[in-house]
Amino acid sequence: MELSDEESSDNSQGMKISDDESSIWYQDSRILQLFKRENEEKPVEMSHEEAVRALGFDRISNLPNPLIHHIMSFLPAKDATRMGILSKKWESLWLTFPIFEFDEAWHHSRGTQTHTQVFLEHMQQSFSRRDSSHIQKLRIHTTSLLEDGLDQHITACITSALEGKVQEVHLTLVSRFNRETETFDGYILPKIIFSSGSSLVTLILEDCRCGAYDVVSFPSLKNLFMRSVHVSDRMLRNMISSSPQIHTVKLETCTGFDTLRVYNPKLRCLVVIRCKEIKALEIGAQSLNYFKYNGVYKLVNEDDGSFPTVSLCEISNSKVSNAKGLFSLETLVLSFVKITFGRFFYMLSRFPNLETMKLVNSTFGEMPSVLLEKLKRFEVENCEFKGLLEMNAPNLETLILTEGYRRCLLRLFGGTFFATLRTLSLVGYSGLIDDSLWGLLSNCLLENLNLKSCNNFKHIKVISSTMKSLVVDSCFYVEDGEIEAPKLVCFQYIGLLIEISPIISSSDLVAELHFQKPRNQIDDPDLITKFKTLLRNFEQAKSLTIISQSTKYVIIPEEEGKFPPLCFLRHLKVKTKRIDTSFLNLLFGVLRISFCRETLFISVGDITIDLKFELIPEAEEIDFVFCEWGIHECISNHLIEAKITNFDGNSNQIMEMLAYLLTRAQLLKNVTISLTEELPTKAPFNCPEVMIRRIMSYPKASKTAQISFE
Amino acid sequence: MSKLGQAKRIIFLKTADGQLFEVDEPVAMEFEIVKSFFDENEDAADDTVVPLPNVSAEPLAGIIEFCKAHVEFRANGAAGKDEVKKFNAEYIKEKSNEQLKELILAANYLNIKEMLDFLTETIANRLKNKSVEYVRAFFGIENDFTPQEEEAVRKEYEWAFEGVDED
Repeated sequence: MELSDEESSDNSQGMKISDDESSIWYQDSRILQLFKRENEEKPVEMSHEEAVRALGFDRISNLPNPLIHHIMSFLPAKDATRMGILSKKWESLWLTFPIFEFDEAWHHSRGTQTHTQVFLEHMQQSFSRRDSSHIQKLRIHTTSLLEDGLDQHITACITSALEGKVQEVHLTLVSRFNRETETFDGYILPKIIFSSGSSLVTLILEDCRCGAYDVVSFPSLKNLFMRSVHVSDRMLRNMISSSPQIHTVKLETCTGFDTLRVYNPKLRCLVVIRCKEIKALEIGAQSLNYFKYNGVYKLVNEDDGSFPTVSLCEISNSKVSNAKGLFSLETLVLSFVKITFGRFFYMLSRFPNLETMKLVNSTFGEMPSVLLEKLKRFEVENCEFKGLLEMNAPNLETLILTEGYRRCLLRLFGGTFFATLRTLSLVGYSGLIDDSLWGLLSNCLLENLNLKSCNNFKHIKVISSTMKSLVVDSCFYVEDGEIEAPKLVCFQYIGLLIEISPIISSSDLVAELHFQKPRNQIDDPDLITKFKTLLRNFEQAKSLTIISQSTKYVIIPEEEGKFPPLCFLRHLKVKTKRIDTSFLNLLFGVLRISFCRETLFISVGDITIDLKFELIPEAEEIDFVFCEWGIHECISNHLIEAKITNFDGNSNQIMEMLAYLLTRAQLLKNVTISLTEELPTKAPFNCPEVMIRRIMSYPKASKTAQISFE
Repeated sequence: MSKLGQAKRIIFLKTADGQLFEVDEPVAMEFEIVKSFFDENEDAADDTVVPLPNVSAEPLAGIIEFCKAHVEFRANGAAGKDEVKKFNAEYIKEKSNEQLKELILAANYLNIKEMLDFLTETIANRLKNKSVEYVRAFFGIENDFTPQEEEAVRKEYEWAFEGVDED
């Protein structure tokens, strides 16, 4: 920033501080507390701020225009427009605002004028009144068909904007489907965009048609987005090739070409989504880093009334221009495509820098085994390969296999392959059968394992010295598990109550158990025994969450009181939908799992109970382990905070629990009760005052307990 | 010469209301005005005090807090990540409209690009869908239109007044 004369003279004053003075400054600064205002001493001179305030300056309006325009640029167009009414200064700021946005939907018919005419008049007026010599952005959004000469007006606006060196043009226009030609009759982009678009950096076109023009030049264009644009094969190729600075090309539901030809040495990102006419790809883009191709799928109803089949966008040919044609590609995402020729995978071996590959809902023909030296992440979801997919990826770190109705048989091999794998996620995957999976696990240094809906094994066997996170989700055939993972910090299990032993884990383990009811609806007679055995595995855990539909799976009943509580657990959470016992019994049943050295959270439906304890010293625990009175001891001498939310005031059970907590807890400091918005109209507590009075009347063990209602 | 490479150099800044701030060099160099001061005065002594006659202590303290955090984010390679967004949201949550205005005026004077980008967006967010009267009060702008003039402009931009918040 340039300094004004006045400021520079101030600066030189600052520079001319004599040696003595500066050393005083220096010492001062050593004892001066940073960021603290000197309130005691009045500054000798009046501060600039005060001076300005005294003069009654509106300093915001005096910020540089580009900065105010920057603020306005974040506002929706209507809000920005209203800025012009703030004051005369702001009117001029509005008139020089370099973003021109027009939306037909904002306008209504006026007198005899249709809303389109009002809209057109507004566009014209804006260009005549506002400064259009420097335009950053032009956006036009129409809602009606191109009648009333709308297209000519749009062309006129674009022409003016191009003269004003516009950087971004965004057109969203309405087009009509022509049944005869089976195409959309839309706005035909004028020649001038292609010949005089030297200032364009971003071009966003929706629902337009590209005419065929010979001269195409976009020397500054970086981003080209086209949605539902009809463009010829040659024109598209020309547009991409004639943009030497291009970075991103995104084509969505575009038509008019059956071969996508992309030749540009600078292009970094190419996204093609649902362009249904494409049959072949030709790519020569040695800087291309990201390529996403999303084909079209449509459900085809067979005439014979059989199940609808899915038809995928078939790519019958693809060509990479030369050996370096896709040299830089790091990410490849393919979905809804059918590629039956082997060439494509032959080509894969010519992507030497490929790091991420994701294949979704697609069908591939036979392919030779490929070597992908740099591949780090490979995801396959619901894909089918003809024959065995053989891949050699010596540096693979993440493998995610999700099986759908398509089957994929995969064989990954390579000498050191397993050594680099850190994350493995199998969703419904049966391509790797029982023993080979556990064998694979014991051979590699896996850190994250996610098994979901895998119905092909009965036993889980994870013996790993590196595993940090393990998720077993809805694998309903699993009967038992063997887990030895000393570094495990995150364990999530969703499924039936099973026997797992032993989990050897670090003291940082955060575990979540989400029990589902068996399908046959018959409760296991050994439920409690199994539950207790399972819980024993979490002796060392830091935090444990138990989720179940009913309270049966989350508590230890009184008759099982000999269960030694989990002594090291700091946080226990229990979530259930409905309650089969009283709240007080639920609380006791949960406390039998652990005395909770820090927090206990219980939720039943919408009601939550949050208890905080003073950390119970480990030495004391020994005293009340195995003892039923330990529970009472824990409440009496350690509970410091209780919070109940979503209480509808209509539960004697909760009142009973509250009474217990209040009469027992000697160290209790705060009790917060937040009531539901709709309080019941029925007895016993039809008005909150009655309930509040009753709660306040309970005898309190702690003299300092504060009860508050929200 | 500005010794960017050297660690632990402290820059002294003096505000309009006479406060002296000690700021770590990388943080102070976020301020374009301070950077150019040292670029222009290559032989400035280490304990030179840079006067900032247009900034008072309160916004400067806020700016230093912001720049310090962002310099660290960049050093940790966390730039652009969620923790930056979280910090920014937390930082601005406590600021009143008045403080926000002081911050942008100061940041503009000090010429700190990253912070200006953040503040302009924040101000815009606070003005979204607000009435003309609200925005005038927010910025402290005096309406110098005559009622007739204002009526005429309002009529012209009639469409821009639909669906404005009632405050």
